[in-house]
Amino acid sequence: MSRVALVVDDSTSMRQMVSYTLKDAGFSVIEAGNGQEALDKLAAATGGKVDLIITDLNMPVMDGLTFIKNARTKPSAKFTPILMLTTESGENRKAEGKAVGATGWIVKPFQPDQLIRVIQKVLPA
Amino acid sequence: MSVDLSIFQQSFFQEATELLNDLETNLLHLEDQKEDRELLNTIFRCAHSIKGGSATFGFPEIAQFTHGLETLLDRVRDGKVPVTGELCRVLFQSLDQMRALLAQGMGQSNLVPDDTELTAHILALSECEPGGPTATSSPEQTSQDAKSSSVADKFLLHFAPGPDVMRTGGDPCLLLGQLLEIADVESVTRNDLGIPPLLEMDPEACYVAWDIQFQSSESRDVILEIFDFVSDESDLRLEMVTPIEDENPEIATAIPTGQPAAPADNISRPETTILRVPADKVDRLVNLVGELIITQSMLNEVTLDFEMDRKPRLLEAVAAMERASRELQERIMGIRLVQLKHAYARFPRLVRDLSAAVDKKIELITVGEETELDKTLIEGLGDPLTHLVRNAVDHGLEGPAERKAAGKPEHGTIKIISRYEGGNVIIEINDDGKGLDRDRILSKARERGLVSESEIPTDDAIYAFIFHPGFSTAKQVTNLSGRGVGMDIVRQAIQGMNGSISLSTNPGQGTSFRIRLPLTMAIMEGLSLRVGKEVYILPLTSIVESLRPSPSDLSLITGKHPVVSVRGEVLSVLALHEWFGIDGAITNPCEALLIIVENEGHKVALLVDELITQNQAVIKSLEANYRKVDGITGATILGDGRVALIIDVPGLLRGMNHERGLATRAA
Repeated sequence: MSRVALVVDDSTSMRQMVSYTLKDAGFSVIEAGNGQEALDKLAAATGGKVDLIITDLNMPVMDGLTFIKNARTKPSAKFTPILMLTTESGENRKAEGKAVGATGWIVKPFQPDQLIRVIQKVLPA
Repeated sequence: MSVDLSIFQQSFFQEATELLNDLETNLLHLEDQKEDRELLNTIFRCAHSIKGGSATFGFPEIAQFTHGLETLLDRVRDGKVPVTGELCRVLFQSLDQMRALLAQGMGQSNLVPDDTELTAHILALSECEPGGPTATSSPEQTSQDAKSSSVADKFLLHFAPGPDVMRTGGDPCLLLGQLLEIADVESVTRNDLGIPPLLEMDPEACYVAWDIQFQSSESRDVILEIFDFVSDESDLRLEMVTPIEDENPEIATAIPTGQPAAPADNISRPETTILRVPADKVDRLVNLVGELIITQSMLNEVTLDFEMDRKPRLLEAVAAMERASRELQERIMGIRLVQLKHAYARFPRLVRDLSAAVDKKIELITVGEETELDKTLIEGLGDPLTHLVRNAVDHGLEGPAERKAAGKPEHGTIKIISRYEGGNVIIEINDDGKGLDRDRILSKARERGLVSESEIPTDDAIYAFIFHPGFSTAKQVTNLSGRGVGMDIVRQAIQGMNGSISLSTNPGQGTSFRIRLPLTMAIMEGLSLRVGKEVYILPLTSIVESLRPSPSDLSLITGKHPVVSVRGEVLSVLALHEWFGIDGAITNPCEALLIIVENEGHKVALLVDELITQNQAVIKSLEANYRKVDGITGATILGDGRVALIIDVPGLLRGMNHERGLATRAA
C-alpha cells in the first residue's frame, strides 16, 4: 500500500506541484487548502493517520503554525513528519515552526528533486 | 527524477490572476479601513503567494518585483510602516506592475513599464536597505552532486539529539542514514549513559548520543546541512581531524543549483483554458455516472428476456435513467457556471480611478454577485459592462455641486444588481444620476435622419436611439466615453451572446440598463415545429403566442407580402417553407399555424405546419461543423436521431427586413 501524504497550501499551483512530485515518488496524496481543512482531512484519513505532512505557513482560515500545533495534539499525528514550506525571507519562521512541532522545512522556491531529498531526511525510504 | 514545471504554469497564471484581483479588492477596502489587521494580513498573503508561485514556476521577474513589495507589506502588517494615501497609491501602482509582468509571462503582452522608480519608492517606504535578499538569489543548496573535491577529509562528529527530537516527528536514525550516503565511517561510539532506569524513562524521549569518525569528500556545510532540522535542539559538533591543505573546496562547492527556468519565450503554450471546479461538484458527477451505470445494467436485465409483465420494471428503469441523465446534464452545465463577481472584480477600481479623474463622488454597490453564469458569457460580459459603468460615471452621474443643487446626496451611486429570472440571468446597471436627455436624443436623431421632423416617436423609441451605431449626444468628447462608438457595440456584444439589453430612465432620477442573458449557451429550451418534412427548433424565449388565423385576418401589402392582423396589431407573415425552400409544406396560413415571435419589440408571424413539442435542445455549433448560415443558430439532435436546425430569431428578422426592404425599394 502506498504511503499517504497530506499537502496543505492555499495556492493551487503550489499544491499541484508538490502533489505531483509526491505522486511521482509513489505517495498517494490528500490535499487541503488551509489548516482547518487539513485537520478535517487528517481526521478523515484512514486511522486518522498519514505518513507525511507538508504544509504552507501563510494561509487563510487557519495558518500553518496553528495547524501544526493542532496536529501534534492528535495521537495519530504525534510523530508524523511535518515539513513546512517557507520562504527565504521567513528565517525566523523556521524556529517558530520547530517550536510548535514541525520536523523540518523546505525553502521556496524549490525544485521537485530538492523536495524529494528533504523528504528523505524525515521519512524512511 | 525530473518534473517539467511548465505543466503547472496554466494553474499558476489563473491563480495569480485571481490573487491580483483579490489584492485589488482588498486594497480598495484598505483605503477605508486603514487599521484593519486582518485585511493587512490578507493583502500580505496575496503578495506572498504570488511571489512563491512565480519563483517556483519560472517567473523570476515577477518574484523579484513582488519580493520588495512583500517586504514592505510585512512591515506594514507589523505596524512599522503606517497606512497612508501614498502607500495605497504605491500599492495600486505595484498591482498594475504585477499585472503587466504577469501578462508578459503569459505571453499576452510585452509592455512592461520600467519599474525602477516604483521599486525605489517601495524601498523608500519600507526603509529597507537595497540589495537585500532577492527572491531568486538563493535557492537552497542541498546538492549532493557537488562532489567537487576527490580528496576525502577526516571528520569527527558528535551528535546528541535533543530529548524532544522525536516529538517533532524527527528520526535521528534517518539522519545518520543520510550521513552514511556521503561518508565512509571509520568508527562509531554510542553514548547511552544518558538512558535513565526503566521506571523513570520517558519512552518518547531520546537519550542517546553518538560520536562518529568518518571520511567524506563533501564540505563541512553539506554535512552539517543533513542535521539542519535538528541543529538547534541538538548538541552537534563537527570537527575536521586533518586540517585542509587546500582552502578552495568551499569555492568549488558553490555551484549554483538549477537556474530558474528561463522565461518561457520559446515554449509553446497550450491554448487550453482551465476551468476550476470545486471537488464536490465533481464527486457528485461521479456518483451520478455510477447511478447511470446501475440503471443501465437494470435495463439490460429487464430487456434480456422481455415479457409484457415486466413492463412496470422497464418503465421504472427508464424513469430512473431519465432522472439521472437530467441531473447529470444540469450538473455538467453547472460546471461551466462561474459567479458574476469575477466579471465585477474590476469595477471597484475602475470606478475609483474614473471618479477621481472626473472629480465626482461615486459609490459602487453590487448585489447578487454570487449569481452564476456560463464562463463564456462571463468573459464576454466584461467589455460591455465596463462600457456601461464608464458611461454611468461619465454621463449618468452629476458632479457633487450639481447633485447638491438638485437636492440629492453628493455621493452618486451606481448599483449593479444581478439575479436569476426563469432560465435567464438579469443584470441591471442603475445610476441615480440625471437620466437621459430625451429632447437632445430626439434632436440628434432628427439631425441624423433617423426620425422625420413631423414624427413624434414614443419615449422608449427615442431612448432606443442611443443603441444606434455612431450615436452619441456627448457635447464634449471626454477621455472616458463619448466617442460615438459604444452603445451599439454593447448591444451587439449582448446579442451575440443570445441576450438582450433594454433601458429605462427617469429625468433627474437616473438611468437603468437591463441585460438579460440565457443561463448557458449550450442548452436551450425550445419548441420543435414541423415545416413540410423538416423539423426546426424555435427558442422558447422568443415565442409570444401561436394561432391559426381566419381568412379575414390576412391581407397582402404592396401586393406581395402577407400580413396578419392579431387583435388589431398588423404583423408581417414569414412563411418558413419559402424562406428555407422546403417543398410539401402547408402554404395556406388558415390551414397551418402562425407562431408570433418577438425580438427587441419587433414581432413577426412565422408560418409553420404544426407544433410538435417543447424540449431541451443541446446546441451543436453549425459553424464548427459546416459554416455559418443566416437565420440559423445551430443544430441539435432529436430524440429519434434526426438533426433539427435551431432558428435564430433575431437573424431571421434581420434577413427578412433586409430582403423586404430591398424588394420594396426595387418595386
